[in-house]
Amino acid sequence: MITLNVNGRAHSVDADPETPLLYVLRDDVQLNGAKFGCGLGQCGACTVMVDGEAIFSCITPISVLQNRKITTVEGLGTAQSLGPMQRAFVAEQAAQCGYCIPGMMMRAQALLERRPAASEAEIRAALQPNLCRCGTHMRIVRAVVQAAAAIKGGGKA
Amino acid sequence: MPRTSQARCRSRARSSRGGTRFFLHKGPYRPDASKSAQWNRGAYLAEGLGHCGACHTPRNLAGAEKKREAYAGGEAEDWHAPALNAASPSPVPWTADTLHTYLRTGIAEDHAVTAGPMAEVLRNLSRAPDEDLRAIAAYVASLDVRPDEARAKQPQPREANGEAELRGKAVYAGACGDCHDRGRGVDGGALPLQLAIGLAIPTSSNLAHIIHEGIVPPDGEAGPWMPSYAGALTEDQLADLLDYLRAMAGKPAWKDARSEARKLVSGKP
Repeated sequence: MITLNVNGRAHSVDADPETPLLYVLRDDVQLNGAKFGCGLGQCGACTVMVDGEAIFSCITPISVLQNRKITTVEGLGTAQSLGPMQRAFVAEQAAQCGYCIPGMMMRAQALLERRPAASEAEIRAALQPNLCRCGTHMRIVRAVVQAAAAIKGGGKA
Repeated sequence: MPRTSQARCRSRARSSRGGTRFFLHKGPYRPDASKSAQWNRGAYLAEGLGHCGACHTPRNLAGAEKKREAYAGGEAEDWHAPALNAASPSPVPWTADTLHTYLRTGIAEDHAVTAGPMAEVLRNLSRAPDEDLRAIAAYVASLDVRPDEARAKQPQPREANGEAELRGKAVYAGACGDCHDRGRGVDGGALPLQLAIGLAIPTSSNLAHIIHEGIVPPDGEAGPWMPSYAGALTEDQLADLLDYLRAMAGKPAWKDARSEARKLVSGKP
């Protein structure tokens, strides 16, 4: 049994320690926000935060995550009470198919927690590892800029 | 100790300026009549414009290349530049052909892909004429003067022992083995790491950089690729993994695995 701390809740998981976090999140913890894209850490659809940093959950085994703080897109807010990042993505209508969006939000969230005053250039550089096949990058960048402003003007990241 | 490293940076900078005055080679390249025209062309390019020794030859305290240890391995931007002479640690010996493929493409059979400062060198070299790359490859291959039978020793992995190596083995199994145990012949597979020179060099720095930063081609370019494990592995987990990979190469433990991991993960020297 490995205990994972996901979005502030402890989950005891009966899985092989080599199992990538993504599968455990989706199959055991029933959090389906993080997506399977490539399974190789090449597309970023599976991005979640560990101890405040964005990581590829599809290549990170749960064996290295004991006692560490995991945050998924579900940890940014709820459907009834969206967080600033989620509100900004809705306001900018930043999703087309939406498959990459949870990963985009988590990588952006990690950036803004580290650098609340990140510039658009820094946002673009930070999002480099995450791909969007629909091509909504311009809206995604605008949404993160808006989230940064919202977080700066009150409300925490 | 930041003061020490700053002082070293300054002395490096000063010595490179002084280097032009004191260590400059003057006069044209003198061909070696006992060698082929291709070898001489390669020597001319590697010693002159290519200045391969600037990184692959160790330097003395004044910052000059130690000419008696030419190509015995040096450093570049916190990366180790492996020895190219008879001390080459490459698990599979380089040949003129594999070196040419590596210089041309950044990836040769049974050798690790290019990474770090060398990746940028190869991007620049990609515009060089093919016959020049073949010449450089022929010259560099000739630097390893060992007879074939002395070179063909494949590394034998040793058992992981000690707690750190065993913890590192578990990290490897979850984070690395899925690709690296499959080999390059399979989709998504990667080089079996006992063939990777990063495990065989005297420092863990290159491997630490590769695991932490990944191998990522520049914006918009295609190329060999590995994901970054920054954020996924803690400082201790990275150090354990370095320890285990060293065992995989069958070499005695590195002394710098903890300090390299700390430098990259925590940003502390």
